[in-house]
This record gives sequence, structure tokens and C-alpha cells, in this order.
Amino acid sequence: MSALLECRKLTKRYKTKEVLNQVNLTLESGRMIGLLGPNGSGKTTLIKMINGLLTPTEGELLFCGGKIGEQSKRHISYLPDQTYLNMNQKVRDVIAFFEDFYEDFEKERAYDMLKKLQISADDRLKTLSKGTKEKVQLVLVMSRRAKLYVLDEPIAGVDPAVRDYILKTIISNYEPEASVLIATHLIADIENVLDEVVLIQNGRVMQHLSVDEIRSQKGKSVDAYFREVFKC
Amino acid sequence: MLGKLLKQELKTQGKTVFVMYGVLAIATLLTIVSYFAGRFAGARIFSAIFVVVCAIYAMTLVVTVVANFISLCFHFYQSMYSAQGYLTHTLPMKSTQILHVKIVAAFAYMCLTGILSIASFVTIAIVVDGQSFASFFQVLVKAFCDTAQELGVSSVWFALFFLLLFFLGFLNALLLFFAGSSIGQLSHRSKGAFGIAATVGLYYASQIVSLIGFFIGSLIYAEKFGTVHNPAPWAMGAGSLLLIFWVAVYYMICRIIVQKHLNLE
Repeated sequence: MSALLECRKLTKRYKTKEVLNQVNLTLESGRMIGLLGPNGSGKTTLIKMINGLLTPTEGELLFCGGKIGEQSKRHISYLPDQTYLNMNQKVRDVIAFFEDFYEDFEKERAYDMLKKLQISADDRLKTLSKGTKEKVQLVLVMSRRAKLYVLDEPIAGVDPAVRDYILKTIISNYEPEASVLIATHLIADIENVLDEVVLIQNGRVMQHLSVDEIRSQKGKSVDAYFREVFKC
Repeated sequence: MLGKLLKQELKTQGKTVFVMYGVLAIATLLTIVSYFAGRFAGARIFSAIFVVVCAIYAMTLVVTVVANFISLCFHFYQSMYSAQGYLTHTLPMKSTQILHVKIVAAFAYMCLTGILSIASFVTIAIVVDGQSFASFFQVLVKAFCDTAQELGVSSVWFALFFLLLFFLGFLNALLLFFAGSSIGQLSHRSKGAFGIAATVGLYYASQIVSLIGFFIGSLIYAEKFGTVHNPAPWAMGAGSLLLIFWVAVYYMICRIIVQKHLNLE
């Protein structure tokens, strides 16, 4: 297994507050990884740094051995925790936009997913419900043949039926050699699809272990283990 | 990739900007129609309507320029530093390329707005004055040359200065706001308000520094040449250099922040 993503003593500081503190983390290819932690633990900050939206205060972040930049953005498909598309555009326009800019974007796959989700490509984004907008964003992200999918709370704010569909979409659409990094609170919903978990608290990586390890050695589900570790 | 983003940018910004150009075109047309209505109908009421329409036209002209400027600045902020920035900054491009495209597109529309506003005004002036475009242009050139002569500079130099002032003035104004909003996004809360404050701060800082520079420069000039020399070419040259200097400063602020201090919390 080769290191897809590597964080070395990664730190993000806002004035005196350390949001990420000396994070050392290595993610390998072909894994489904859960980034788990309570609110304010630094999950989104780490994800934003992986995508070049935040600059580290200290430390190093490498993707396939190179720094975060133009090359890494070609291979990382990112789903933020909020709507980031231009609401005045039609779904069709956004698909054309992604096709224009991402070489690994597959238009047919996107239209196929939209059809399954019964979303019209001629609808304007601003006329869609919150859940449907999230589905459109997920379709865009999962229609890329990326090396790393970074999904920030992909199933938050949607009903359980949609949640199932989203998870199914993620599992069935990512490349086997690619990795998926999912940040979420809804552990019970995703734990069956995870290979490993990264537990993060107060900006520090507390544990990085495989799901099998949690089940066999700790004798618990990931959800139960999370509750135990982060008990208030 | 650069071309695609530029095309996309022009298309997105164009939607708002062209609506305003349409409004300006309608206002120009209405002004001309009301002028002819007054001229041919002869009734006083039409003359009064023409005056009112002229006032509305003047307001439309100002509003078009200001609203376009605001819309371009707002678009920059929204696509770079709000939620849409997540998409902009995850495009497989260098951050400086993205910045350059945003600047070029906004500058192109600002110049177009300026040119169309002048064209609209000139059209009305020609129609009302009853002259041909050629004779109007001659009058304009003569006035231009007279002013240049009055200032003691060559007409070519004066024309260059005028063009520089026109285009760099727009670029300076846009980059001032872009730099302000780039500084604003460094803040952890109220990024928009902080951006406006930074823009105002930068504006006053540039005015004070320019004034000091101008004052020191004029002292050196007076020391060297006394009052015998014509100061107009010096003042124009110094003004142009200052404008170029501030454009470079604002650009560097945007570039450094986008490249090294992006903070899309």
C-alpha cells in the first residue's frame, strides 16, 4: 500500500487557539476511512487543509508525495459540508462546468445518477430542496474518477432513505484503488462501509485503527466505541 | 483551462452586467426620443418631459457605472471567499491563475461599462447638438489639444495620460476592493464587514501616502527647477506613477493572500 495522504506535525492556529495540533496521519489507497470526532474537534479544518482551502500554520501536508496544489486538486474530489454551487445555474450547467474543469469527470455517470435520483438536469439549483441540492453535489463529486474522495458530512441533514441512497452511491461509485475520507457524526449509518477510522479530538489524532480491530479487540461496534471514547 | 475559466467568468458576470447595459441603452433611446418629440411637436410639455428624462438619464448613467462596479466586486468576493470559493479554489488550477482570470474579467467589464457610458453620452450630445459624428469628434479633439496646450504638454502625452487615467483608474478601484476583501477574509468572523473596513483603510492609507509623496516630490521639484518650469508634466507623470504603484500594491496583496494565506473557514 502506498501513502496517498500524509500529514506531518500539521498545525492550524487561530491567534492563540490551536484547532489542529501536531497532527501526524497517513492514509493509504483503496480504503474507506471515517474521520470521527465531536463538534469542534478539527475534522472540517483538516479536510479544508487537504483541499487547499486553509493554509497550515505549521507542518506539512502531502498528497501522493507532493504538496497540496494544482496537481492534488486534479485527483481529490471534495464534498463540502455546505452548498457551494452558484444557485442561479441549472443542474445541466454545473455538470458542463465540472466536465470542463475535471479531466476525470464522467458526464454519463452524472446523468445516470441524476436519472436514478429523479432530478431534472434543467432545474435551477435555487429551486431545489436542500436535500436535492446535496444530492446534486454528491452526484458531481462521485462522478469523478478521483484518487481521493473527501466527503464532509455527506449524510447530515437528509432523511434516512436518502442517507441510504447516498451511502449506496458512495460505495458503488468510487474507484477500488481510490480512498474515501468521510467526516461524520452519524457513525451508526456508515460504520458498515468503513475500513478504518481516525478519531480526532481537540485538534489531535487520538487513534487511527481499523474497524476490524475495534470489533475484534475491543468487542464493540464503531458507534459504541466512539461513545465510549468521547463520553462527556 | 485558463481560457475555460475566463469564458465561464465572463458568462457568469455578464448576466448582471448586460442587464444594466440594456437599461442604459433604453435610457439613451428614451432621451433621444423625448428630444425629438419636443423638437417636432413643439409643445412646451415635451420640453419639460425632455428635461425630466435627461435627469433620469443622468441618474441611470451614474447608477449603471456604480451598480456594475458593486456587482463585479460582489461577484469577486462571493466566488473567492464565500461558500462558492470552495469550488473556485478546488479547481485544478494555480491560485494565481484563478486570481488573474477574476481580475481580467472584472476589468474587461469595467472598461466596457466606461466605454459604453461615454458612447451613450456622446450619442445624446451629437443628436441634441445636431452635428455629425465627424464634426463632433473634431470639436472634441480641438478641446483636447487646447487643454494640452494650456497645460504645456504635448497632445500625444496628454492623450496617453488620459487613457492611462481612464483604464488604470478602473483597475485601481477594482483592485482596491479586491485587496480589501482579501484582507477581510483573513478575519475569523464578520469577514464581509472586515473586508469593507480594510478597503476603506487601504483607500485612506493610499491617499495619505500619495499626498505625502506628492508633497515631498513637489518640494524636490521646486528646489531643483524653481517656479520657472511648468509643473503640469511633472504632476501628470507623478500621478501616473502613483496610480501604477497602487495598482501593483493592491495586486500583490491579493496575490500573497490567495497564494499563501487562504482562510476559507
